[in-house]
Amino acid sequence: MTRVLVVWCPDWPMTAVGVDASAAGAVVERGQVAACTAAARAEGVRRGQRLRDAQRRCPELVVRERDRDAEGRLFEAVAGAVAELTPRVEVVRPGLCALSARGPARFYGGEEALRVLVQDTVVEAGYDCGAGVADGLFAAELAARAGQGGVVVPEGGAAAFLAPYPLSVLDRPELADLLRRLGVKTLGDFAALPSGHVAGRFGADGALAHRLARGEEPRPLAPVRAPADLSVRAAFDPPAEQAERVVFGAKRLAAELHEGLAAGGLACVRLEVAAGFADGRVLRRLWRHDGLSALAVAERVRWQLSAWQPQGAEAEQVWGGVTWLELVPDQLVPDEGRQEALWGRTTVTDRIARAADRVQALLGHRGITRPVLVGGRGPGEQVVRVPVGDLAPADPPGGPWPGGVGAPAPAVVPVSPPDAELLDASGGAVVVSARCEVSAPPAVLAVRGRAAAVTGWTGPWPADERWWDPGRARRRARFQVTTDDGAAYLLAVEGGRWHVEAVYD
Amino acid sequence: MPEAALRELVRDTAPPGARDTVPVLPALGPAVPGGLRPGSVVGLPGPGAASLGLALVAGVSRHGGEDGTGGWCGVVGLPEFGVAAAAGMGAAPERLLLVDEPGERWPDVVAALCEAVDLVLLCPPERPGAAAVRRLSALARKHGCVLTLTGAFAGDWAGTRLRLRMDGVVWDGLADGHGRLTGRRAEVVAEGRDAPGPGRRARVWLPAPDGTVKPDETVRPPLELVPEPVAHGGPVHRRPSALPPRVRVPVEEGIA
Repeated sequence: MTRVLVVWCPDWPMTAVGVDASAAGAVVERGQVAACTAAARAEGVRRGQRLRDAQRRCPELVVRERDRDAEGRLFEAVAGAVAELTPRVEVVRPGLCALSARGPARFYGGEEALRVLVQDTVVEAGYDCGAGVADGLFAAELAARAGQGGVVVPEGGAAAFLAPYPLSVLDRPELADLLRRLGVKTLGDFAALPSGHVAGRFGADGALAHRLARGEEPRPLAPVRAPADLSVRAAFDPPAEQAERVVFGAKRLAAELHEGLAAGGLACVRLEVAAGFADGRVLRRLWRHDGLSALAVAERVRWQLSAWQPQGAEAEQVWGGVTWLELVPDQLVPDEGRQEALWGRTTVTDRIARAADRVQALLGHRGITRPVLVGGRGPGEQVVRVPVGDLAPADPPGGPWPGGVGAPAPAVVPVSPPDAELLDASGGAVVVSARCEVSAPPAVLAVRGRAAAVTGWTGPWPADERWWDPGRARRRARFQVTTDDGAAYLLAVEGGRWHVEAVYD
Repeated sequence: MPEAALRELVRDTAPPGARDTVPVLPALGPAVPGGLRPGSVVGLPGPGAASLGLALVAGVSRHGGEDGTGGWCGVVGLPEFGVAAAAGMGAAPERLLLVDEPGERWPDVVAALCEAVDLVLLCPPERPGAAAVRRLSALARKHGCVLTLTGAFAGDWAGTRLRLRMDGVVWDGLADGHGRLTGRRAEVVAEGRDAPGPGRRARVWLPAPDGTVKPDETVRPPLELVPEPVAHGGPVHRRPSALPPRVRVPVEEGIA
């Protein structure tokens, strides 16, 4: 049984968005509370609640959108502080990191001493945390949450330590619900069931949960000897000073690594990312892998690099850019199959992926995009361009958009709407009053210096958007206008200025 | 397995490059019968180029196939490309690749895309040089990709086999201060070597009120002379005859 020390930072998503632990705050994701501070919890705010319910319970709640990038980036500081004490820190997920306790405990004079030392180090770095030592990752995580800042569970005592916990800590709601109805309420009850029957009734996942409940490793570690060195490495010459370039290289490297692993029928549990700098320094970090896609690996590399960058311009001069990047698979296990499409539902042929890669090599990661239709009123707001390989936003395209411009959609949607002049018959500018009254019927439209007579017009269609947010509020009125040269325009007047929002070419 | 079934299987698994034509929307059929020739260059000079480009992209993109191996389009140098309008015409946005700002590397970008997609809609940011024209035309021919030119330099591409433009544009739905744009009736004119003689024409709704492209069947037949004289300002419509309906007698009964 491996002894594991886990450092757990409570409510990490809250820390990442900069909400103080003493204030009542919550981060939301898709309208639901993803995490909240202890103060908010005391008021009755819970994870998974709808934002509205949370705000009803706690009106002064500070609400932030969840920022996963910041979570990963900021946690680098914690992992770095722990790594000062002992190398080979494994980041399980932002907010939780683990290390093997056996060696360091001997060095620092016992597990309790190590636990207190690690906890103090992280607190000195400026983050609240709990640290716990136990057999295996699962028990250690609970040990880190137990008591005041964590406990040490003696060797072999994991099962007894876990027994009083409710089944919800297994993070398998369906299984927990089923077991509760069968009269099994705690991990101890569950662990007492014969394992053969559990596997027969609940399948492989149930058997895995059963092993967790008994304080055993979730799966018997089956590290196989790598037949060859599967690590991959890329050199940057001249040294890459832009993180983008390294991340792009990492994506290719990760694909290469996965190919090598797949050829051997292997998967790696952890991945070591090492970046070497021009002055010889090396930035190493272990990340939990567990079937990450190539893109997700590149994202980890970005986190690791961005944690180094904020140290300012002088750091860049001293370190001199990244000269090489290495991905080393750690703890290889047989691949039991886990496949997710990187591109969503549409399969992408190698042909397309190759072409997109080449364009990205020419123009950078954001050079080639795929459009995703989302909701919005104006024609420019209805499309989001997602760089090829990135995940599309999960916003549903539906929803009523009162005041939106109806079908048919315009064919030309300028990125920056050009200015226009709309004049009435007497040559004066057409003005729309605050009560949406048009000063005179428009007669002439001039766009980019070319004037044309107006043959038909309609409007104004007022759109008063985000009036609750002064920074992003927009108030405008839209017109549709046809001219005698056969063109049709969608015009918008905002603050007395006309511009062409779209052209029905 | 019978031979016929085998042959069918072989045909189904043929590579997409081996297709005969690149499909277009059915409404554009009269102007571009059968579809676009793979590897050809299509020019969109003049008015309505943006909508025609969208319609061509929609025609290719909606024929994706179950496995998604075909029907990809690349759009290069057109940051103002109306994705929503293309989707309205039937394009699948997930099979579009947009390169908004290719800069001076646009020939390399088009060359990379040519090998993968079925149609590239290109707006060259500068006057294309003869070498780039030759190279890209050859690449498009080799990979069976239709190169569609739009923008200010669309006419400067040597070897354009087909030019599409719009004629007789009428916008519907807008009046003096009320209504909303519902659709446009236009005539799509195809000219060039692939449409010899006076060219081919198709009357279409581009776009129709629901955003799609439809054949325009609202054109009225020319007026005809009414044969009967109009007396005393009476209505022109022929009145139904005042005679009582004739009673048909079965033949067998005969008339005595």
